[in-house]
Amino acid sequence: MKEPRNPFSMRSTETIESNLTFLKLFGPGALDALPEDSFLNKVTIFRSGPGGGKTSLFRIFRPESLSTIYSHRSIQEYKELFNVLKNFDVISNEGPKLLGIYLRLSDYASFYDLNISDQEKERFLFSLIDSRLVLKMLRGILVLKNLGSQDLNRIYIEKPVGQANLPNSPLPCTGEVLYNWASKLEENICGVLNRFDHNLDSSVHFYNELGHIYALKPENVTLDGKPVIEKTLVMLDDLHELRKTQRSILLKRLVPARYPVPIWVAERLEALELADLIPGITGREYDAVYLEQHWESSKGKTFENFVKTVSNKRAQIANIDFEISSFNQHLEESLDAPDWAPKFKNATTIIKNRIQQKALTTSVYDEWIQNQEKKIGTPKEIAEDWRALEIRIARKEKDAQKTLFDIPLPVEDDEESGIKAVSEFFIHEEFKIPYLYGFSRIAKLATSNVEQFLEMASELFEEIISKLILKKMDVLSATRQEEIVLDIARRRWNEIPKVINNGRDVARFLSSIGKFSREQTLLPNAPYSPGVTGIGLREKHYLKIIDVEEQKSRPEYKRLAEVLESCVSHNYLKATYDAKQGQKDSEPVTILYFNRLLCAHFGLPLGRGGWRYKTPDELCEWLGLQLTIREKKGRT
Amino acid sequence: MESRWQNYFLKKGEEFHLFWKSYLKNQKKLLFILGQGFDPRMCLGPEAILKIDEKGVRDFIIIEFKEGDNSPSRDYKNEVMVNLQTLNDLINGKGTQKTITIDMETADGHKVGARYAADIFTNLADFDKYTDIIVDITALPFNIYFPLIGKILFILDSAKSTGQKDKIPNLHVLVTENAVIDKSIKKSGLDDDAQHLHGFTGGLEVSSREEIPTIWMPILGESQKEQIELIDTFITPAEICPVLPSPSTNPRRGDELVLEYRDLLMNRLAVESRNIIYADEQNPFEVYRQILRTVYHYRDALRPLGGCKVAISSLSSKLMSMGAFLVAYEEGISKKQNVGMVYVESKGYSMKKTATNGSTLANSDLFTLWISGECYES
Repeated sequence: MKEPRNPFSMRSTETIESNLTFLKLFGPGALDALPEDSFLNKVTIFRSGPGGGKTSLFRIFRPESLSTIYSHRSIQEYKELFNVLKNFDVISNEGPKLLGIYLRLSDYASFYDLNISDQEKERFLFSLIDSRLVLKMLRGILVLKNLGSQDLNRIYIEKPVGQANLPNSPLPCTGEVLYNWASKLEENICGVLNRFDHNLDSSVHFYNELGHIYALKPENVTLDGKPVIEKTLVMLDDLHELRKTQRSILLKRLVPARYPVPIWVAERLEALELADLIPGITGREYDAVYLEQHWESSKGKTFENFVKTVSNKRAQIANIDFEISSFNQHLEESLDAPDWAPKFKNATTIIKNRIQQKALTTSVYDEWIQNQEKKIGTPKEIAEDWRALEIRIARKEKDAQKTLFDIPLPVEDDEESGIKAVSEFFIHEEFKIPYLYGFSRIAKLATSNVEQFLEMASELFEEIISKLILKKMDVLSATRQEEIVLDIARRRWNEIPKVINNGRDVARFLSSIGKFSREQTLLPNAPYSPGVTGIGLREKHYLKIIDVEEQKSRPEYKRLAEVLESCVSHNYLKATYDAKQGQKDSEPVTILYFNRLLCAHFGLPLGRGGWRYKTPDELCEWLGLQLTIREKKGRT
Repeated sequence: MESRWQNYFLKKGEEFHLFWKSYLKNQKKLLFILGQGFDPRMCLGPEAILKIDEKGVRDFIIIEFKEGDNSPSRDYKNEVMVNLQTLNDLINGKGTQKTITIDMETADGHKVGARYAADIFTNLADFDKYTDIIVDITALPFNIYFPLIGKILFILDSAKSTGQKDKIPNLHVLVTENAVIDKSIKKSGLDDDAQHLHGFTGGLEVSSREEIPTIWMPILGESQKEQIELIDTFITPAEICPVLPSPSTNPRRGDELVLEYRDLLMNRLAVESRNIIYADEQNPFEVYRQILRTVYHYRDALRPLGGCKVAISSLSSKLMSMGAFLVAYEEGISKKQNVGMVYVESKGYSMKKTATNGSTLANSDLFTLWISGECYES
């Protein structure tokens, strides 16, 4: 297959049809998210917002991928991945050791509309998943062994001994018999679900559990009488597509069943209730990996390094007439080039004038100003230092404990926290100097979401190759980078009402947070440096919003909970639970930070740390909701 | 190729009025089925037929769809009330009126409208008072009128196949086309994933046929980028054959669509330009023919490799979507071939206020499609 001109445009894993291309583009760093005990016989749940990388992670372990990696292991582009997977013991120099059985749970939800009993609905659900797992297993073996469907009769599957209850199962039997049996079972259920005319075949037996998973144990499967696989892994993707009841039944059956194979389940955050969306606030029944949280909690620039690898791999396969070895080398990374000097010098002059005007009436800041005059650095650094000084003066002016006497304040050695970052942002605001540029910031804007990164990188790359073709420049200017990012942020914002169920509520709510955050951020003394980019909910308030009984008497809380749920599950707000706030007199707090692309849209800095407490009633008012009367007098 | 609607019955504009005037002379007993919506065109079809002063039953089933508390469609309550009042004035004792309410989603947000729409009618007895069923799809969403008409047609066909010849009513579909109003009504609150349409899955969902390559034929309309992406991700087609309108009332429309989706189609989805299918924007039977021809072509070409599955998506006007309906019904339901419909659900619809403007409305065209019944019997 011809590689595309702009490989960044292939965003989701599902759209990359070729295994070779997918593997070439896959950043092995993504496998760091796998917990050490992932391959033990237990259930592990992977969660993220859309585009968080769950499906890519699962795809690596599918038979098609492992076979391709094995057959290309000597080629440089695949070597690293081969070695990483060797460490997971899923592949060796002799071939793939793992049979990954991958199943999407995307079309099971409609059982719940059928006019049948709950027991029958469950039997349909489990029988359909069971039959499809069998089909996927058999097809997987054919792929791993490079065989065709005519070879199914060379496969033999034993009937598992012990736990499995499999009445009417054809086991033990050949792969062909089992395949036909599973196909018939599947077609029967799909027919009942989806056809106008279909009646259930009474000869077909349905199951109440995923009994055939027991048959997936490696020792139960042979090819020409010899063992065919060493390990099995069941991967159930898109659990969020199930109805809430189905999801809960499936998880309740899977976890205690202790199936003899590892089971991975992936779901989007939208499947979760608000209470479960905030890692740390409630206890967990399962081992859950929150992919975005994994990146955020990793030390150093882990996500940045990961997307750097991903972006360089993509840039290298671009189908263009010249070679691009790395993506980031074509982005302007600093504003220290001579072109920018006049702008910063102009900014310095203006800021300096303002400070000097203030100093005419007092000598309190004389030493600070003298000290600043002595500093050396690039025009950008000097301008930022002057702006930092201006903020420091504003803070001092605001300080209630002003000095009684006009005595110059001594120079402080320690920089006040975040003042550097905020001065850069203030200069950007006042003098329209770019802020959203350079690889680090682009990676930061992605807010630990790979798809979000690819969306930005795709448009930046398109511009880079166009400029290179026209021989206009080697690097994409900071100004242009910022324009592109802002355009994406604007489009992302505009699509909210279109792509989210309660999108108009979500947009109104986010817009209120944005407006509030900007007002707070741009205060002259920058009290919440590097800026306000989120809100905090005290634990008692948060628990009130999610409390079902409270929601009955305060319907506006139900609506607020739905909006918060949508914001977090669609990655517009990132939720963190800060129990440390509980030390001393404060209490634990749930902080909801903006996705950084929304920070860009609302004209906010990208740093975290600045947030303001809000009560549920204030949030309801932001949503334009009328407060229930009994609460109006005494606000929560 | 032998196809069910090779010869067809379609009337538009002035011919629409002439046909109904002459047809109703024989004291027809009509059952109108239409949607209760904010679309200003909602009553134009029934109005044109009701004002023909001939004797006969004129009963109405009005489908009200509840899209949930957050639906943007709720902003148009006034427009809905105006439409209902107009309809009441039109019916004015000429027949009965029954409203059927469909919940479009469950409490946990899953979309169920399509399934419920297919359950409105269950057997031929539902129609035994009538000689003609007229489904006006103008104010009905795609996921309602497809299963609704599909089920009615299925009931009529089943009755015919069991040898019953009497009392099988004719089935007509009315569409009031207006490109300006179509453009001003937009889907809002898209689902995160595409899905198969209930009743029209065509076996596409069956895992044991997963290895068979899927050919995707999206009928393209404006501003559908998100839906195209979602459907592509859902079905991962081996080949994409976009259907573009040509001839079209705006001769440049096909080119403009290519321009709108050039990056998505040509770069990201690697669509070959020779795969583009052109079909008459104002003739659903022509759309049907073009798609069907392509289905046969791919099926023949890929037969040695085990054949192919065909997914059709209607992302354009209701009139063109009826072409997709005819293919999906004939191939997927009647012949039980692997041909189905894939679409993206939405929370509701929003409309620009200019759409209700009288002069815009006056430019609407009425179409009547006779889908099943006497005219096909010879």
